Amino acid sequence: MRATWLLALGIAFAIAPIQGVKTIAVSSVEIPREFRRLPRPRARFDSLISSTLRTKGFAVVPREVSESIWLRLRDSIGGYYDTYTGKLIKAKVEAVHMGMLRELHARYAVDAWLHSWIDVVSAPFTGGKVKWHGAEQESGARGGLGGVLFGTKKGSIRALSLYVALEDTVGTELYEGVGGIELGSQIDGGRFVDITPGLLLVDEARNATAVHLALDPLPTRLTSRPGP
Amino acid sequence: MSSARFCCIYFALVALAGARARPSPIKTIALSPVQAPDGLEDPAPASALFDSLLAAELGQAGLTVIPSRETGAIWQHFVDSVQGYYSALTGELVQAKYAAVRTNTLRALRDRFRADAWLRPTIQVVSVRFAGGEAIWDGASEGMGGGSSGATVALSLVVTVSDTAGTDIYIGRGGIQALSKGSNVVDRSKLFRDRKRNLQAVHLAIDSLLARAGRT
Repeated sequence: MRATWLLALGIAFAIAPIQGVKTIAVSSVEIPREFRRLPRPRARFDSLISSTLRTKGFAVVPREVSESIWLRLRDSIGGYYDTYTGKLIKAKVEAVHMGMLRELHARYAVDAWLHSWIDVVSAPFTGGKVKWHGAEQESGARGGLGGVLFGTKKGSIRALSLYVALEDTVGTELYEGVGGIELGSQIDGGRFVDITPGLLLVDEARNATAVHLALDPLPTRLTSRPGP
Repeated sequence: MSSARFCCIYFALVALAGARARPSPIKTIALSPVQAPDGLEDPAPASALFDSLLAAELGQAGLTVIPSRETGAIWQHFVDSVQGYYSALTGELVQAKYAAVRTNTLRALRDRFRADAWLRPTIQVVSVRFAGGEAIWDGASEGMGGGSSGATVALSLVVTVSDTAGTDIYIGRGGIQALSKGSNVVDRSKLFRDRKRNLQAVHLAIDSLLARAGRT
């Protein structure tokens, strides 16, 4: 009997959302300009992020909710870009941001908002392997025996990583995570060759791994956060 | 029609076509203020530096230069008339507004100052791939310190010249200096200190223009 209770408690603890954060609102992943014409990777990452959060025990408020609130608030103040420079007006965008968090909390009982973006980063490499943000991939440069015989190349190469940030409903950051996705270039015959944007972000296994790398530490980090 | 008369008409037509195809020579050029990149804490000194270098080199080549303060004031007047040409909602450029500002500025430069051309300089951040420990970009080169190959970022002077009809007739680029070497980011206070490099960037960017205009 006691063992059954302990087992039940153990399972409950493993899948239960973290105290204080039960419901998370998500936004659509922001992707670099060169990939914006490709709707599939964006939808795929959105879906992977939501499903990963659910498996970790969180209730997820879909991206459409936070996005519609954001756009309504943005339009209500006539936009937040300076018409002379095209740059963001920080005070205005912050007003929209905080207004959205307040509304998510009041109308949808949201405890935290998760936003995510994909960035191009510079990943260091030595020889054939590139390791960055938990991911690993062959660079195309010589490594192993070839490196020993002909010299090892080292330097940095273009790569893509997924970043996530979670904040509470007053804008305090609770968590930041990152996971390497894949290389944006390869070394071919001693030269860097960019991979066609259409061929990037389509490897389902790599995308899923990046989401896990970015989100897997989330429950542990939230439980280890000191209380108020 | 006699063959001699036919030949005369033929050569006159060829000469007329040639005159139309050849761009009119540049005598007076309007210089816009140098646009510096966002990352600089205080872009004014860098803008002023390249502004004076460009004005001096163009002047020495025998061109009449309409100073950047005049060109900048005209541009600003037309930007104010449309209350800026970026969208407040998206931050993107509104093409129709931008085109109106550009056309009106060109017209004013031509009518008030008899400008033949308009030169718009920018300092841009460019990504540079390097190998063999040396980065080479836009005609410039610089040692990278550590790391035999990889990617870095650097500054380049880019000039675009339009004729009075608004057609871009020239684009020139000159590398200035690298912004990082290996993992070391160059201190912002040490940028644009090398007078030789600065002047070389100006020459790389405009020498072909001056040669084309028969000014070298």
